[in-house]
Formats: sequence, C-alpha cells, structure tokens
Amino acid sequence: MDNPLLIDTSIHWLAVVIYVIATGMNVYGIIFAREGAERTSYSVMVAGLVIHGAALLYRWHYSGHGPYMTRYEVLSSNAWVGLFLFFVFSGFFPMIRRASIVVFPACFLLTALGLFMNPGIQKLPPSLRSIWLVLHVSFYKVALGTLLVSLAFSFFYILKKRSAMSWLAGLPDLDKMDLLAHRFCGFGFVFWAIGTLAGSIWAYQAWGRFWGWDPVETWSLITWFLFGIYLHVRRFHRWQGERAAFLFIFCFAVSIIAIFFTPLLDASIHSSYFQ
Amino acid sequence: MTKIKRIIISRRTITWTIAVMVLEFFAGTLLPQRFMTAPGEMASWYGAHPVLRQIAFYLGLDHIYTSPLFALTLSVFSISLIVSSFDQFVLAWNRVFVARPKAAPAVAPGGRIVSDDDGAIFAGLRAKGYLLTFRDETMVRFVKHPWGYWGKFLLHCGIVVVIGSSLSIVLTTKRGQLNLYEFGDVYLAGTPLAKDEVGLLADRFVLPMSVRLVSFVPEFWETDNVKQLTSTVEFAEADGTVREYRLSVNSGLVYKGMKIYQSSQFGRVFFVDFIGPDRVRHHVPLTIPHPLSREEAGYRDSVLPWLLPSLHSKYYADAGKEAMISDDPLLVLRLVFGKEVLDERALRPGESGQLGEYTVRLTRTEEWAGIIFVKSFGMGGVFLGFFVIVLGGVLIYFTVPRQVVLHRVEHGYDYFCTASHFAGLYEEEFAEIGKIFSEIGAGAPGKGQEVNG
Repeated sequence: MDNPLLIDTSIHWLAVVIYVIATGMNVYGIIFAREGAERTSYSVMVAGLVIHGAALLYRWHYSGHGPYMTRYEVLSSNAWVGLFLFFVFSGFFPMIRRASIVVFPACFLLTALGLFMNPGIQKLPPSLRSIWLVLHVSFYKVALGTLLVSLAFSFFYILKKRSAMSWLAGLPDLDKMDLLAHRFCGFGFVFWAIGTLAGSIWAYQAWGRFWGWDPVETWSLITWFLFGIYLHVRRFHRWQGERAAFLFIFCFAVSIIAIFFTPLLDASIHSSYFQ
Repeated sequence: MTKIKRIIISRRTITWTIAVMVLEFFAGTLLPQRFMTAPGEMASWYGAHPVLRQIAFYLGLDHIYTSPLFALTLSVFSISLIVSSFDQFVLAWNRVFVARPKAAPAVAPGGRIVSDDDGAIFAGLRAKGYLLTFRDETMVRFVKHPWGYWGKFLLHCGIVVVIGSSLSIVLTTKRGQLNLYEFGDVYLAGTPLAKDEVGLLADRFVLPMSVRLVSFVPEFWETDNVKQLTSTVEFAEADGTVREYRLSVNSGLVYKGMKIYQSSQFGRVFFVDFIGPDRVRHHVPLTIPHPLSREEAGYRDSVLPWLLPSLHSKYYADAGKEAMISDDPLLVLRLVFGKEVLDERALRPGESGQLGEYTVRLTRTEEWAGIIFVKSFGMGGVFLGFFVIVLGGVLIYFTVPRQVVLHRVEHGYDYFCTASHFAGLYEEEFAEIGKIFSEIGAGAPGKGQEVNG
C-alpha cells in the first residue's frame, strides 16, 4: 500500500459507506419514529465524519495543499465542512437536528460524486499560495453548510404545510422552521460576505486588483445580492412561510451554479481550480 | 423633502434597485463585455447578433459597468443607503441610549414579580448575560447583546464605503503591464504603457523610471503546473540611480507609490528573420505565451503589414517534449489565408527554412515575463467597507439583542421580554427568565411575539 491515491480514495469510500448506513438509519428513524435508530444514526455519522476528515488530512499532507483545487477535493471538503457545521450548529440549536434528513444525503452524495471525478493531484499555482485563498474558500464552504440547513427548513416548511405525513409532526412548528430558515440564511449571507472579502484581498495581493468582473466573481455577487433580497423582503416586506421558502430554494439553486458551475468557464481566473 | 426621502428609502425602492442591479450583473455575465473581450471576438458577436447589438448599443449592455444605466442604478442605491444609514444610526442610538422602550406588547412574555429584592432580580438577569442599560425610579431595562442594535447601521455604512471607494478606484486607477524579455529589452521612462487600463478621470499611465528585466526564472512542478515565477528587474532613474529588485507571484513591491506585481503571463520571444524574394529582411520578434504542459503548445496569431496571409505561430517548451524549461524549444510557423493553410515550417534555434516565398531563420529566443504596475486610491476603503459589512452582518444575525424591561409597581415589578428579531427562537430563554423571577417572587410567562424593542 504505497500508492497514496489508492489509500486516499479507499478511506473516502469507507467514509461514504458509513455515511450511507447512517443516512439509511436516520431516514428510517425519522420517518418511522424510531428514536433509537435516529439517535444511533448521529453517532455513526460522526464516525464517518472522523474517517472522512482523516482522508482529507492525509490528502492535504501528500498533495502539499488544502482540499480546494480539484473537483474531487472541492466536493469532498464541502461535504465534510457541511456535515461538521451541521453538528456544531446542532449543539447550539438542538431543534435543527432533524435537518439531518436533508443534510446527510446531500453530504454523502457530494462525497460520492467527488469520488467519480479524477482524484489525481494538481499542484498549487503560485497565485493560489496565500492564506487569503484558504480563508476565501473556507468561508464559502462554511456559507454553503449553513445555507444547506436553511434549505432543509425551507423544504420542511413546504412539506409540512402541504402534507400530513406523520413524521413531519416531529419537526419544530411551522413558525419556528420559518425563523430557522431565515436565521441560517442570515448566517450564510455573512459567511458569503467574509469569503468575498478574503477573495478580494487575495486577488489584490496576487494581481493588484480587488475585483475583475470575472464570471465567478460576478455570479458570487449575484448570489449574495439575491440572498440580500431574500433577507430584505423577509424583514421589511413581511415575506414569510411558503413564499419565502420558495424564494430561498431559488436563491440556493443560484448559489450552487455560482459555486460549482461557473468555475468551469475557461474565461474565469478561477478556472485553474475545480477542473 | 420628507416625501422625497420617504420615496428614496422606501422598501419598494430598495428592493427594486437591488433587483435591477442583479439583472445588470446577470446581463454582464451573459453578454460579452468590451473591457474583457478581444475586439475580434466582439466584432464577430455583433455580427452574429444584430438585434442584441442594437439593444446593447442603446442600453450600454456591452460595457454595463461603465454604462449610464448602471451609474444611475448605483447612484439611486447609494443615495438610498446613505439616507437610510443616517436613519439606522438614529434608530440604533435611540434603542441603546434612549431608555424609554415601547410599552409592553400585547402578548410578549412577561408577568409580575412580587419582590423588593432588586439584588436577586438583577443578579438573575446578569447571570443570563443581560446588561443593565437603564435604571430610574420607575423603570429598569436590561439588554443582552446591546451592540446588536448597531448591526443594520454598520451593514448600510459598509456598503456605502465599499461603493464610494470602488468609485474612487474606477475613476482614478492606473494599471498597466510591461512584457519584457531578458537581455536588452528596456522600457524607457515617460513612455505610455502599451497595455494599460486607466480610470475615467486618469491620464495615460507612464512610469517615472526606465525598467529592464535582468532575469526571469520560471519554476515548474513535476506535473508541469507552474510552481513559481521570479523576475529580477532594474529601475533606472533620470539622475542615473539604478536599483535592482526581485519580484515573484504573491510577493510584489511598492515603488514611488506604485504597487508592482509579477504577472502570471510569461513565455518565450522568438526572433525570426523573414527574407523575401526581393531580398528585403524583416526582423520579427514573436512573443508567445508559455505552453500549459510539455505536450501542449503556446499559441499566437499575428498580422504583419508586409505579409498578406496571417502568421500563426506556436511553440513547444522542449522540441523533444521532455521538459517545461529547455534551451531547445520548437517553433512552428504557419501561413494562413482565410481558413486555408498555405505553408508550415518548424524551426529550432539557429535553424532556417522556407515558408511560402520567404526564407525564415530563427536567430535567437529569450524568456519574456509580464510585470504589472498599479496606482490607485481607495483600496483600503474597499477592504474597510467589506469588514464593516461583515461586522454588521455578524451583529444582526449572531448577536440578536433581547431586552427585559421592568416597571416598578408596589412591592415588585411588572416585566416583559422582547427580541429585536427572531423572537420565536428565544421563547425558551424568556421562559427561563420567567422561572428565575418565579423563584424570586411570582411570575407568569406568556406567549411570545416579535416586536421592535
């Protein structure tokens, strides 16, 4: 076993298998009201998170840079950060625990999707060797993690409002879910802004400009403004409930385009990563 | 005046302005922009989309960020933000320093404490993180996270500062790049830079010193990715002073108020002699970007005034495709007329051959590197503004202010609890406060409702 790529992908696969088992238990536990299964699923998922984290650290060690260059690294680290944040936020807000039914599958799908991409190592170009880059990508990952929780509650709100499925009764009441979706979007909005700030400082340090209307930058700004509109209409136009939930789902879809698809454009200065 | 102000800061105006800006950004990503697209590409896009061309012409959509439409949107947005920042300041000031909050909302959590033991009541609130902000004969007010009231003001202010500073940069910035090759290529002081971008109010960018590239060292990983680019440059002043500096990517320098960066653009310059049938010699330097890998070529197309077909050139870093740095690169020249390739010739340094009716000879090659020069005012403001935005957001969403207001009654207090927003998420906290009060005297927690406290 002296092939680091093989070791790396094997540990990743192990994490995915554990995630799948945990997700199965979680869904079963929540939908069929089996508290034991639901409780165990969180512990199993934490075990998967630890193994997944070990895989990322191992890759960091042998590639010589953080997991933010290739699609394999980006998807895997986004999943890890999303899951890690979910557990952190669950500690502060226990009522968000059942967002796991959205967060768990999303994270294992992201990790598994990453495994189907080329796991080869891409060396870090000199312009990407900056602490500001690490902060830039880290905060976008954190933003995505918090927005994922908000997405879960937007979905739950619509589901609970429109159906009488028994498992939904275990979720917080409609008003609380609406507030949770709102607040976590606020967290995401702040983290997105920090990511943008770090990115602009990095760009200034590397190229002498803080903003270049690059497609990735522009789409990131569009997304931030859209979340701004969401927060604004919620606060000042009293948008609540389903209407707000649908608007959030739209904004989230745009954020996915901004994070995962615009870097694929060759015209982007960001195209040296995520290829 | 009040009516105008009301229109400017109305929720509808703000929402629509943000929406229009988002649409403008969106148009900026969909339509090619003049400042970041080659003229040839722009021309072919115009040719392929005559209707969009007309629309783009009237609305300035092909230079959206310098169009009157964008300037108007940004102005409305900025004015609205400035006015509303002032309002937010007054609001935050009143919430923090003007002690009289609104009367208890109809269904806010609250009740009566029958106790004269102020010490126990206040200690209970302090234990929950509430700070005493006001106290007189009739009323006591405790607030948790009072700084949270400043969040919206800071968020607004931060955006204003970012827009103002960006505007300063857009108007005054001077940015240019010199592509210099080793051994002999010199930029002379006072000459306008061939490749520059200047702000709307700025003159052409000229450097006060002469610049020479002393050496350029590109380094590569074993995967052919660039590891580092390092240039040694020499700045010569009019008084004869010559200073040498080293630059590399992410490690620039400041010289006479200018920031100087190592560009990520580099490659080789090939000096080719073209000798026509009339024995006239044309000495052509071809500056070609470096290939991305040893298997790939770097490309450049040129139009030469004395040559009817266009000249397409490419080069491999190493003729044997075994290294990214080599003294034996391979240059390939191709004469193209329309889509038809008329002739092609591969040359190594020192070699000559026939290309169409010309005898071509590759006399020498050198490395070239891009050096970026920037002079701008307002960059600090942009970063400060961003920081203030973030601080505002943190205060709004992470430190939600909650208050407990106690009105003195005979042998105790009537109290109520409110949060400035997300009140529904603090029902448990308010219930715990009610419990503390119950233990001290007698309280009856009610059901919560969001109010502006």
